[in-house]
Amino acid sequence: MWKCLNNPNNEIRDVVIVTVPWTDSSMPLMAPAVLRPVVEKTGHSCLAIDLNVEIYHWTRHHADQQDLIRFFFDEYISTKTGPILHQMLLSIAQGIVSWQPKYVGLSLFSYVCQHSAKWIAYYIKKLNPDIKILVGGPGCLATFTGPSEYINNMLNQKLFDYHIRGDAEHSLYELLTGNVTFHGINSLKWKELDQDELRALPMPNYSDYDFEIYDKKALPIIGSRGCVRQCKFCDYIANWKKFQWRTAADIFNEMLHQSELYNINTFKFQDSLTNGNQKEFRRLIELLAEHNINNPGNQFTWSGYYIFRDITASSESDWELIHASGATTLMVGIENINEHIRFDIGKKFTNESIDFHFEQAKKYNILLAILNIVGYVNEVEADIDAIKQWLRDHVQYKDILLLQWGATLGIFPNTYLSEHKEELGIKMIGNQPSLWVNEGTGSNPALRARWAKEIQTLSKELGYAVTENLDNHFILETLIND
Amino acid sequence: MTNFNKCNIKFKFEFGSIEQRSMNITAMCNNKCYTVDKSGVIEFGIVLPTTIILNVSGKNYNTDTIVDADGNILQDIFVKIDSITIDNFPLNKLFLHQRITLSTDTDQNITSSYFGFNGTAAIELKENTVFAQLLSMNS
Repeated sequence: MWKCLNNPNNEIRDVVIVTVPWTDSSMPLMAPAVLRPVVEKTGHSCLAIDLNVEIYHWTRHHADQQDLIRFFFDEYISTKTGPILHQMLLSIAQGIVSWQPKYVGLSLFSYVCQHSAKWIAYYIKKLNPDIKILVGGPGCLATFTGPSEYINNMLNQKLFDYHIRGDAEHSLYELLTGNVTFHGINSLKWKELDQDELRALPMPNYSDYDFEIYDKKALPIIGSRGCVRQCKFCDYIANWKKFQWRTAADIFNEMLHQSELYNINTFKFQDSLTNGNQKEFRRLIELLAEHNINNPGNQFTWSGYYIFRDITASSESDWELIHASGATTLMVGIENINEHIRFDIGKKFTNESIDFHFEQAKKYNILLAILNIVGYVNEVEADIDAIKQWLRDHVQYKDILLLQWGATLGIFPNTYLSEHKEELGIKMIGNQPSLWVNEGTGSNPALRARWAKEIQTLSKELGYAVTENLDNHFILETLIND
Repeated sequence: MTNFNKCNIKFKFEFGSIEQRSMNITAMCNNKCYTVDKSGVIEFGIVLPTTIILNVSGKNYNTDTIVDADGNILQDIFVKIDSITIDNFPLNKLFLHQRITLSTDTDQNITSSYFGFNGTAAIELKENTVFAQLLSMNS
């Protein structure tokens, strides 16, 4: 039933790695391709496939699409979809088991993958209880740093044998070579890749992917881990504590190699920062610009996360190069239009610099997806008024801006804000990250929701493009090839 | 061929006793009777769809509920279902507390997982796969 699992010659693979549905994406999810070379390095054979995209298309074209999607989100079934979903799960499991694997790796990109991962594991174990099920990916944990009631339940239920936390390059290798007590295996403590290890990683192997199925002809790529900033609200840096980067030459070689293999010239950086290391970034855009000039019929385009800095002598030429390198969309976390709030967060670039970068992006027609946080811990009504005025004063940039105002500030575990609540006057009033009050300023969830709504409404009235989706990578993906 | 209608069902019970007197509970399914082990568990294999009858007995209403002068219960013997799992998947609290009805020997129907009367409770498993059965019971 699933083309990616077809096994007409009854071949055998020691390890089968699949992306499990539901991830609302029609571009390749890269985890299986990244992990396949790791598996092969251990001497095991591997099938690495993006099952999610097939289920995504099947669901999207199904007459009962809405009810089927409800299963992935809420585990809902109706009398009509129950048998359909049973058949879907059974055929996935039968397809996987037909490869006679010793291990099956389930990659969970988002929390919406949890229900299907549970049932796929159940069906596989029912068909062959000897198969070991490994799971990993950000969808396993409710927050970047865990813990996860879901994973604990699945391990206790023996549906999953191993949960791998964080990047799996180390731990999967260790697990497959017999060291099941290595960092990150059934443990929240994990070992990040260091600089040398990140640079020594083999290129992702997409041989088992069928690129014809994707609506977005783009290849994901990772150029760095971590971030150069220490923003007070951010839990990403609690997971990847140190900024690690690949060299420009290394990244460029991967782009060239993958482009030749798969005839795809559009790349989406999956990391959190393309220009964390300015020297390497400048070199990369030089290499890409040179490639694009020399290959007019085969030019590369790319999109990714980008950080604004204060204006320097080279800022203008940097933008010229960014344009020549094929950048189409840059996602920029400005976080707050108010300079004093932005500085307090830890992003110390001026409003004058923002204006400069906007002007340059407009000049080169590069789309900027701007991420904002409404209701920072010290934000008051006057700051909201200032944002509204800023919006009125900057409508000349509306054609190159996509604004995301977010779901107001959430205070996540292991962040600076979470660890300094008392001194900041913050009191949590519930279990959700957004449920906090600042008694000193009167900030509360209802007030912040009103602020966000007012800003969003005004943005739309002024003609800005506004996205209400909260998944930043999803937003970036929707802009590719459009 | 694996049958996705075959599974294990496990009941875990808690017993309330007075002077070592406690109630009895058995499960009947397909003309087989299953009894509680030492840890308060009944576990057996089933083939869906099926019906399981829980039989609760052994309570003497004159001696096994001790009340004070105002009628407040001081001590009682009872059986309570702590959990039900199907192939290790737990049924949720909504099912335990609101979907199990005991028909008592005093002609009452009591919907609860707490059995303080003798009687029978029928648990109907109408679906033909574990997947459908669990999701219908838990929603």
